[in-house]
Amino acid sequence: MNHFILRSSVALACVFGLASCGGDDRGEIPIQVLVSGVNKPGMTMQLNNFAAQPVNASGAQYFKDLLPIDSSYTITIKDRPSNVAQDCVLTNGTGKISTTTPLDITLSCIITTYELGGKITGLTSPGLVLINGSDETTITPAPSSNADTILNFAMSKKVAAELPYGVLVYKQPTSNTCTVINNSGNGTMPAGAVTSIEIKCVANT
Amino acid sequence: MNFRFLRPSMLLALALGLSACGGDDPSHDINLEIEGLNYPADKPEDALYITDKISGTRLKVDPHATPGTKITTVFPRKLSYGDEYHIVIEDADQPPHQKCAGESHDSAGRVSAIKVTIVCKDLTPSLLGSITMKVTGAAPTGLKLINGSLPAFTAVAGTTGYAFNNIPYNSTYGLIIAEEPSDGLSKCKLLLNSGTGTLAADRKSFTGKMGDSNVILDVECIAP
Repeated sequence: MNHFILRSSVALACVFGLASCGGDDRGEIPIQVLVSGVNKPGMTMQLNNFAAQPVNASGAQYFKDLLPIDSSYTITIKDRPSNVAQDCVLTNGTGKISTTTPLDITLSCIITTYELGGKITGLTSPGLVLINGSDETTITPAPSSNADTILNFAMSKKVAAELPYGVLVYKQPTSNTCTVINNSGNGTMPAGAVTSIEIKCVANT
Repeated sequence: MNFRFLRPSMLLALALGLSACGGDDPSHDINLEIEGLNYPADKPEDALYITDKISGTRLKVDPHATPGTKITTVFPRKLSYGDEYHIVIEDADQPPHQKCAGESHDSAGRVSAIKVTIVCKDLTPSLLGSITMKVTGAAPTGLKLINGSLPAFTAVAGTTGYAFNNIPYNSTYGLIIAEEPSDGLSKCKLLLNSGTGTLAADRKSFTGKMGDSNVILDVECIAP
């Protein structure tokens, strides 16, 4: 890390045309990629023909290898993190290093999310609101519903794997009382949809 | 008038016979831009007020009919060249459910046009509370609290409290005791200390909608 900072300050000195830069072609400019949506390994990034290096986290990531001013760069991304379903998007992945224009290279990944839901039995009136934290989801039964009707539901917001979930009844429907049963409302999200939440509604007397 | 105390530039302007010298010709506006103002006040005194501390002038700002729309207006105090102004929002003048920020302290004429930008954001209080173990010598290790899909809170040996921070005004929360302490003896229940919400009959979960202030919901663990 200290070596890196020293090389960066030499790079800055060269940018300002100080005499001690020397005349060789050894690269001095660090290339930064601003990464978002990465919290698992699996992806690599490669600068020109240097060895590829892993991208394991979001935030400002730097290539180990530095490049001279006025040289061209090309970045290649290989693979994806294990929890990302589509290729990550790279912007300004090729270009030329200048002293006046910032590079502004970004790499954006979208972590896969899954449906969180289950079954509601006996819902016969409107107004039921379920919550998973700040996700509020209103459930409206079909007009023909009765005490035996089973309604499949999913929360409005999908959830990424490994996060907790805790579905609760926030507002009761107008003429039913609904309860999350069998401790099925909370758990840890798997890498797939949850369809196991069970809610039982009875008619108010 | 003692000419010695006039600003040199004003002296020069007078000497050159320029008409817009200031003093008698207030021609500088304080232009205001207010972004993100969302909620109208029920009572006039609860609205957003912008104050100029130099003159004491105050301006009431109501949100646009479409909440959050940028508001462009002019402060009701015109300045002469060189007049000092200090635009602030006093603590008591914040609008409902939000905190607005923006301050400018300068004198007229230094820049060609005075523009002050005020940015308003919804309050983000916390849901938090103490964790008390009533069984002698028991530690809360393993007690797990969840609020939807935010990162879970898991207690360790010395834990005495928990917090779910930055819950935006008007968003719901649903706290659940997902796991009891791992001592095998303690059973925990929720106790509302301050704020509003609905505690389940078994006191293992609590739902509500965030207002302007922190909600304090304590956890108490006993041997049943």
